[in-house]
Amino acid sequence: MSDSVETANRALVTPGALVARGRYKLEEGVFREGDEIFSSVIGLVDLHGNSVRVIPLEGPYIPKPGDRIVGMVSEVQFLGWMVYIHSPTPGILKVSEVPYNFDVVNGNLEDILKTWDLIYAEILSVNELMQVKLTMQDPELRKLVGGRVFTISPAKVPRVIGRKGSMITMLKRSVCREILVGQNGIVWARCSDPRKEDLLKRILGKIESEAHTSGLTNRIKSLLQEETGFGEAQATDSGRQEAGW
Amino acid sequence: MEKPKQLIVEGKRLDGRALNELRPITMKVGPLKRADGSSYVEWGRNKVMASVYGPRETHPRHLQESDSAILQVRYNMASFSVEERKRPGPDRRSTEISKVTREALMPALFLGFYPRSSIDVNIEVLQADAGTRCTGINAASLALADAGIPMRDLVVAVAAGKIDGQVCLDLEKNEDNFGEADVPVAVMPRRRNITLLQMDGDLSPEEFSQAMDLAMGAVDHLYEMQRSALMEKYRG
Amino acid sequence: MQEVVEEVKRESIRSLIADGKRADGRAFDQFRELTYETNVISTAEGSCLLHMGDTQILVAVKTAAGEPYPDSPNEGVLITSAELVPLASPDVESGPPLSSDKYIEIARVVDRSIRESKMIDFSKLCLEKGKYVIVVFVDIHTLDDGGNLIDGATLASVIALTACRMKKWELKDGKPVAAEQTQPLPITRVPIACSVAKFGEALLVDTTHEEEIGMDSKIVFGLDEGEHIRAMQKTGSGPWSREQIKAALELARRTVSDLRKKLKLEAVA
Repeated sequence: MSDSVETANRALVTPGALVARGRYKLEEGVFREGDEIFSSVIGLVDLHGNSVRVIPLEGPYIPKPGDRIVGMVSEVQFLGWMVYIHSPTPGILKVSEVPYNFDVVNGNLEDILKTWDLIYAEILSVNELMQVKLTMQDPELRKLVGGRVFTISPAKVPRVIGRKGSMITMLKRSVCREILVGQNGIVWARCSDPRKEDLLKRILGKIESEAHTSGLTNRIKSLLQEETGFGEAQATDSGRQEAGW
Repeated sequence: MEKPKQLIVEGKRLDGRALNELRPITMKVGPLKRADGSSYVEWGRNKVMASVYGPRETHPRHLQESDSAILQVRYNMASFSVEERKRPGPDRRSTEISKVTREALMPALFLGFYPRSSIDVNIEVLQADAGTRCTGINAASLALADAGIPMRDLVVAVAAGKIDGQVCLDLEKNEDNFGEADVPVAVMPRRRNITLLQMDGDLSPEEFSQAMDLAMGAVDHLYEMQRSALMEKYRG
Repeated sequence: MQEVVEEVKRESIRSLIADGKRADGRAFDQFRELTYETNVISTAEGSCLLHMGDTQILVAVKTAAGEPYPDSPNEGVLITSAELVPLASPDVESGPPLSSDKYIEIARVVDRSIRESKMIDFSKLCLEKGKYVIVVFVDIHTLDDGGNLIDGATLASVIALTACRMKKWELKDGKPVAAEQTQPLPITRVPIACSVAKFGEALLVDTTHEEEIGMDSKIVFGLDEGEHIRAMQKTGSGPWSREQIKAALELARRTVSDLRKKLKLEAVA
């Protein structure tokens, strides 16, 4: 049994397309039938080392432990909250997962979080029944106040973050410092100027529709340069950022 | 229309096609903004739109399954889709077609990935000219792929039949009304797994075998059309 | 769970509008890009596929011979329906009624504009007084609910009716029969509907479905070519003051006047 690649790396494939044969390690977007490995989604083939996957161009958010997400409290429950996480099943946040000394007897959960509150949380665990547990036990995880929320297709989140965070860093420097990109496709931003929030919305839209193309980072760079007068080169002085408008 | 004297004249059908020829087909992916996945297919004079919502929470809750998603399919014909205006809403025919369509699509989907949720497929026939259930299955397959639902394979569908005693491919309305048999078939092309098979009329085993040959012979072409339509959304 | 994300957007939309802006950058009195095609459904005698931003609506017109209403024995009949199509949005569930009252309202308000403006001369649709008249079916099929369905459905219906080439109905041996030739419907004027949505003190036209989540309520105005009001409907629960209604009517009249110029819809006498 020899290992062979049946489609070029970065090729666009559709469900059922033969991607490789042999003993590759399977990651997302592919499945095995005997010796053959097929794509299960429409996406881009990604072969690295002896792993193969197809990066989906569309699709719902599937929570994984460690993912940081932006969610909204949908219900106050017994000793915790149900949280909408933009996924087929909701997340459960127990009061024990929130850094707060909660008085179980006299305390009121709504003093900590109430319905409609936005939170930045982390997926703690997901079981086979897709029951999702959340945690906020980390100083970066918190309730989000003010700002604006945008939704993008979860499949496009990696593009918004960029390789080693390059895209999101560029956005934080040129547009607005407070941007949180949830792995679940919900993005929260709080900018000093509502025009910046509009610009961010346009940029997210552009990334979404052009995620599968190359040269996107440069096009976004040019767009930012036009709109804010700042390019990567000037972005070191964070004090000037606010004055540009 | 009264039954024409002949449906086949000198080897050609009334619309000029050969016995093994498909009607002209166009497929488009993603025409609807609100749906998670969508498609629009024109097949001869059939015009069918499909949408997919999901995976999402199941309504009503009691239908949910703990270890996999459920697939709900609704096939509907618009009141204006047929010559004699049809009363709006589901009837027994559309209920049956919804069921067999669902059973045609299920084997292609990795439903186990989304326990307790629901994948909702809507097939809307805007203009009908025989073969709407096959057109609908092709449209649903495209919409499911467009929504990013993981699939083992795409699903194609086509019908074969018999007119004037001869087995042929892809009946249009008059052929369906005045012909002798209609055999819709849905197939997962990679392994030639047949996921829908229906028949009405009168066929000898020989004729049935010929009809299946014709239908299976169209599978690769339809598969290629679906793949191109999906890729065009990202390349075009 | 869709409602939860929408609730988040509701607050953002409301604060944007309080700042004088809309999410898509339009002015408060600006309509989205409007395009339409006619005669897209060959099984219907008239049809229109309308695109208004993300909203897509298909309306088809068919005729049949039928009985007149008892109180108008020599007049044709208009039946307007809006089918609940789950294609159009995630909120529409294939089961029973709760979400369908929205669609019933759409059909009835569209019907009101057409009927009250006397768009169709029903007296010309009589085959035999008291026995046979022409029944005109207007079927509204929303394909993609991007908001402002009533205005879109009214416009698409009106265009489909003006484009309609209906079968020539005649009596043969006392029974109605459709001849092969076609003729236009007897149309005297063309109403246009414009909905005005209220967000606090702000008034907006052509709301997107997200804006509709955030609005207090809206009023649909059905206006004829003389800009007389032929139909009105307040939809949604927020209350209005007299001054606000007056301002909304003014806004609707201006908007409709612009739309007429842009679309050049004409009556076919």
